[in-house]
Amino acid sequence: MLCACAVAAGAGAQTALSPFARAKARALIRDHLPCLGCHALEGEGARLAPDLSQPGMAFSAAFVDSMVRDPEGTRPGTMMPRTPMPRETADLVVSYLVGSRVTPAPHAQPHAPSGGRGAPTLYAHFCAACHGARGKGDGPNAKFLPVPPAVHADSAAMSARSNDRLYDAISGGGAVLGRSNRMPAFSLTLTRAEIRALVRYIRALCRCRGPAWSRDDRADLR
Amino acid sequence: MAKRTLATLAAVAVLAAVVLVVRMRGPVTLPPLPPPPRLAQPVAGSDSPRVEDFVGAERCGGCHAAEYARWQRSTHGRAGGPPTSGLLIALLNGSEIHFKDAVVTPSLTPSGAYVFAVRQEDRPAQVYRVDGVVGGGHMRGGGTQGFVTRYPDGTLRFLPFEFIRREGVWFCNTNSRANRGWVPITRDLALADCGDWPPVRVLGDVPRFANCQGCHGSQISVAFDPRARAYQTRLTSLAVNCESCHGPGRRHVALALSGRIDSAADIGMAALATLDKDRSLGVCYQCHALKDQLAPGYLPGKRFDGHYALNFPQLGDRPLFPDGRVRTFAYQETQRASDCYLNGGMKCTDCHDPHSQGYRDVFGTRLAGRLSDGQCVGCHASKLEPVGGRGGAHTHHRPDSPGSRCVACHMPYLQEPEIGRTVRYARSDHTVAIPRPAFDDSLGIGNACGQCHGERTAAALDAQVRAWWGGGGELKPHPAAVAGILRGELLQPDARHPVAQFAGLAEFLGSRLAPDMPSLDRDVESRLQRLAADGDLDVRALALACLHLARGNDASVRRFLARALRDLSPAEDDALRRRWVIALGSVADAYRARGEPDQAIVAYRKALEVSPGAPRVHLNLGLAYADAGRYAEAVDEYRRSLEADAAQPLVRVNWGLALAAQGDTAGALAQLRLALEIDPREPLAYFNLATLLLVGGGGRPAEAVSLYREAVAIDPSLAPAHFNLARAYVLVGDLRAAAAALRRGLEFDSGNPSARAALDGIERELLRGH
Repeated sequence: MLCACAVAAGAGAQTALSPFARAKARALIRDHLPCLGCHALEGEGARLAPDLSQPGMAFSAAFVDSMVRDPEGTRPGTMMPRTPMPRETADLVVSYLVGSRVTPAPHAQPHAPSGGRGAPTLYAHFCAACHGARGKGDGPNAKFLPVPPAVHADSAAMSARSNDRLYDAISGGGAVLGRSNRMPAFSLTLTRAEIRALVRYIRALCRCRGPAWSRDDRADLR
Repeated sequence: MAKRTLATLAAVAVLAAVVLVVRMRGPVTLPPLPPPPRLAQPVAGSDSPRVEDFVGAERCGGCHAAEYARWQRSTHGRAGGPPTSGLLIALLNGSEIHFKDAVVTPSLTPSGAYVFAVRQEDRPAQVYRVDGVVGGGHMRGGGTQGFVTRYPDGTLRFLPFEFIRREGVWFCNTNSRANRGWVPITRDLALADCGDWPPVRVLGDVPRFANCQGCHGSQISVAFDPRARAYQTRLTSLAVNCESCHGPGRRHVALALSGRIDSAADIGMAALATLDKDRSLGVCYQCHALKDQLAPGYLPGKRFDGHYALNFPQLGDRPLFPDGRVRTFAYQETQRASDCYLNGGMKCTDCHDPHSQGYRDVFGTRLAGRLSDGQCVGCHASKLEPVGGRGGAHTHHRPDSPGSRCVACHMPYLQEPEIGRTVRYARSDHTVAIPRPAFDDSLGIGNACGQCHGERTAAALDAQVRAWWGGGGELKPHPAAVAGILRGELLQPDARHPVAQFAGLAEFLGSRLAPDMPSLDRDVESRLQRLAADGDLDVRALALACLHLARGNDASVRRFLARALRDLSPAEDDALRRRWVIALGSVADAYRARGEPDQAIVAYRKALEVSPGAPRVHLNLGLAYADAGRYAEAVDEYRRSLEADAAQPLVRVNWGLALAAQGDTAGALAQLRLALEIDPREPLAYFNLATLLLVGGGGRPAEAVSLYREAVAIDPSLAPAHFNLARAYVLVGDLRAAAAALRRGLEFDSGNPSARAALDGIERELLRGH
């Protein structure tokens, strides 16, 4: 599982995290970050990705560090998006996951999304596990989520949401919009054109448009 | 700002005996409301912090050097402190401030103290030492600096002379007297036009005085100490320090010093970054919110909703419009009415770095400043997308123009209406509204577009907005609760919009309900019952108060009310009842103010059903009985009030007045002297003692002179005391002193025709004497 690609120098394990720091990291992971949308932690969360409950797990500290900060650069093709967060938060999360306080080494520039992927591909890769292959909210991961994922095929529900709202949810994730924090942000993983394409794709799934007041043609959508 | 709830000011005139017949009801047996549970003893520790549990920012800086350094440079870190050259923006260098009738000289004495010397003709100079500086003129929309001085009664009080950085002038707040807002001090302004002259605005939360609650400083504790017969004021700092947000640090420091902190899960501090949206906002709303006090003694770390209610100011002065924007005066708590809060996850710290007060985006990336679009597009990245096929932008403005900044349209700086138009004191609109020029204009709110395009009418701007952003001419609709209220449908259950729901309920309570109505429309009752189950404590309590007021005479409604109090923890029960009582008290206060004491009595009695024994309710009920001429019942209520809280000099004063109204002068004198035993600086006790000696005690004007002089020495703004003092002087034959007393009284009550006529007469007499 170790990545062969060029990642930053490994994080050097130093001292054990205090119980308080561990509790803080757990609270951030559980209630503020999207991690448990895919991973499990102490029995809570989803099963799409490795369980985070085992500090160190089967991975090196360097790999965990790199994966948190630059998933696509570390494992090309991964479905794990790069989550925007303050550096201190990333440091704490990595330290928690590897079981000890790490001093992060300088990192290379994270991988930038290259774009060019079609909406059906993107939807199948990033969305379908929760929202279902046809947008019915019935992806295999849905049962592990505390808030049911949006049913993109629901015309009535989706008609109440503007295109901008859909775009912002994909870009910024659920937490910033007051929805589930398990929905990750894709602003660092997808290009703007790809997000626009996904909004169009969702409109195709619901066969609907947003409210009339919202139609200033932004993502109606080239 | 103005406080409303359960006003306790004593009457200062002899009460007229008016007998009102209170409507008697038949002997209906109603189920009682359950008594309040006994509150559990507070657990020592962070749940019940005391002032001595706070260690000060310097202790924090010993370990958290980086955060401390950022805080020191921040506006919180520079929010106030001892008067030093580094903090002062006003020049206290002997330059005189000229009023029409006074010269004020701020200066540095040879001993190193800053003082304000107030000189007025025919009276000795008064010198106020500056014991603290509040504010550093930091706020972009109008930053001010004020000064506090320690008063003989133990309070710290603001001097009325404040400095505003932008205009570089001294100004004062005239609202409680001349009612001209905040105005620069000029030779046209009388000193007494300043509402805070003589100094009456107290640092800390004392309902008796105008106050700034506990926000212009850290861990401010002020309370009347019956043993010392004076107020005790304690505070950690006049800056806003680390523990204002993080809570008391004593236990945390002890753990750190013991070396056990790295092995402890409980470090004596909460991790604020892990708080959910509302709890995070609660940290900031400790200060950045207009609020009503429910219980005294709040300190960071205590249960905030047990001490303050954010929506309740709406019951009295209605500071907000139903959409949350500012009608009179408010702070950044209007954010609770924003779409970003109601339908998003927005917290203050999503844009504001709490340590530096610099700007950042929702993911923690530092931003250049207050105009940075990053504050918005972290969540609203869609607004960066080109519009339509034209390649235009959401803003429809040139990208590098001021009009293209998100905050220019959605968070315009709006002058706080209560301040007036003379001194700029504008605050950024935290409801993050959509510009609706015509609608905004109808509310009297300066619309955002007009800030740059002032030459265009609201109608023209509205048409442009609709052309650009309205799908088919339709702008994004108001939230359902706001839209309903705008249509006149005031009760909006299930709306998940506490600001609007409370505004609607408050309007409904004030305009549609009365005590013990024969019936309520079924739909209204149903809506009130649903609102009484709302998740927001303020909304729930107000709805319960509405039902109690209007239909508390109905057995089924009483059962509903009793059920609402079931299954609450003692703390929840207490928080709910305190709100409920204030709501009923505000209704009763309004009836008293309108001269309807019998209705007031019914409402106060209902408040006592909710909170039996509440001393201030008993006091106000007593005042209502006195208004109705039912003095014996008034005395009974005063007695009950003192049984619950003996340290209330004003209750003794009013008890004395009630006895005097019944002809019991000796009893009245005794009560007034008891008031002075509680607080030897109670001006109304001196005033009423003097009045009894002057008019009710067989005419003892010389003694009255002495007592009136005590009263006006303590509170020079007590105009009736000056006028009665003049009368006493006339009786002892000192017309010059009488004229001087009338003039001083007229400074504070210039429109009093009797005093004006008396002064004219005395001056004619004095001229004839010459």
